[in-house]
Amino acid sequence: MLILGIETSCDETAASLIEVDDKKIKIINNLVLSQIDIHKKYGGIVPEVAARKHVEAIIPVIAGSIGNTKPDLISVTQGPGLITSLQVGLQTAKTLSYARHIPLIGINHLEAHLWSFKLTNYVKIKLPALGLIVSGGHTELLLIKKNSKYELIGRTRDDAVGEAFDKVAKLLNLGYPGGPKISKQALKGKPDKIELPKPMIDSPDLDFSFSGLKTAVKYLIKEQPKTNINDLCASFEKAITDVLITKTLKAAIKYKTKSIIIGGGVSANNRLREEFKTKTSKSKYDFYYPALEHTGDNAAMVAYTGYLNKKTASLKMYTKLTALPNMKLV
Amino acid sequence: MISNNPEETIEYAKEYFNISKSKILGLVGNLGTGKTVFTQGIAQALGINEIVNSPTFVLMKIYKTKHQIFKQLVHVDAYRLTSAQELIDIGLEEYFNRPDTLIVIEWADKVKKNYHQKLS
Repeated sequence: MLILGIETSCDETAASLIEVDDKKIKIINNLVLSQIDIHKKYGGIVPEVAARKHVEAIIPVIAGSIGNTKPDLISVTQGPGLITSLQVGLQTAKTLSYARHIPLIGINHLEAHLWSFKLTNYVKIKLPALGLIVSGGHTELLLIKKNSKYELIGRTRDDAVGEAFDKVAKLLNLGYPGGPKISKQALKGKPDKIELPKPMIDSPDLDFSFSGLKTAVKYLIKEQPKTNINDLCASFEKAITDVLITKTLKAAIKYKTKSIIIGGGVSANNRLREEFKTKTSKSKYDFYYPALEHTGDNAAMVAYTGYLNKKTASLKMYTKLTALPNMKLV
Repeated sequence: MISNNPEETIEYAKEYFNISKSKILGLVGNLGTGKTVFTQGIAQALGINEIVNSPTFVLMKIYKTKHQIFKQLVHVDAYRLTSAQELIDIGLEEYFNRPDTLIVIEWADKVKKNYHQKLS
């Protein structure tokens, strides 16, 4: 089955063509036009700029992806995300579906991140499984039950992980996006040098909180301006990964899961990947993580998620698909 | 009024909600001041059970309440915005001047420019 994926939920305009069946997956192309450079000067995403850039980029990106081929299905991100950005991808997908008589499906961006590891590691996983989605806008712990239904079992109560990285990078004047900047400094620092809070690490629930950690960094640099930035970045990164891994493993015990999956922009973080690999192999969980090039927003994961949900696709979908900025995963 | 911790901020927000007549609240303060915590206090006062977390990424989140007058809370984060026009771009206009809607805007100072021409 030939599937066109379209993704514009945030600051990437992306289209991808994949060929997939139950045995194999082939990424024919995976085009991502990033707006990171455009948004760098603002220190984050500017919605109006984002939407305008999506409008400029969407047609060339899709044309570059499909050329003259007619896909069997169009899969587009319906939410969650920035409403103005989502609408660009959605309207284009609907128009293309109507004009060329191609079945259409709207998918959830989080579900796409969850399965992004499958793009390079097309294996059947053991259920129940846990999925940890970590990105600029998300910190969510999902339980994937035996019937492939999802249940949200934990989430951030304030800032998302990627947001914490961005905001701390801003406090330290390191630039945007914050994750890679902090990790680079952290490589040169000592992770045990500075004592930072690990919010909610011992709380009985499976929720997260990163706002207090951001505030702790804020006051630390105010009160001790000579603090070594490298040590601070390393300690901050360690505090975050410790909380994420501790909570995920706690959930794995509670729900007797067999596999653990990570996805989303922050799953590119080297410390998080390595620590997860070590801890999960000790505890005998199967651990899955996306290839680095599939951690950020991309359309190949959107195309594949369309395949997973293909039963709900239809030729008439263009009449009812709307952007859902707060879309929930069920 | 000085709050020394998140718990106090929550309590203060609840008290503030009870005496305030405003339908739009603008919160101003640097990273880590407690703007989201304050909004969480307002949300508690409105009887919202859901987790109210930072809308920095999606810019705006909408919650249904159990309150008699305010049926919904619109939580906006203008951290990444630069003018009031952008509040319109994200679709906020639809929620202005509605008697059943309480709007909280974090980083309100970022959208001061043209605010009165554009939205009131």
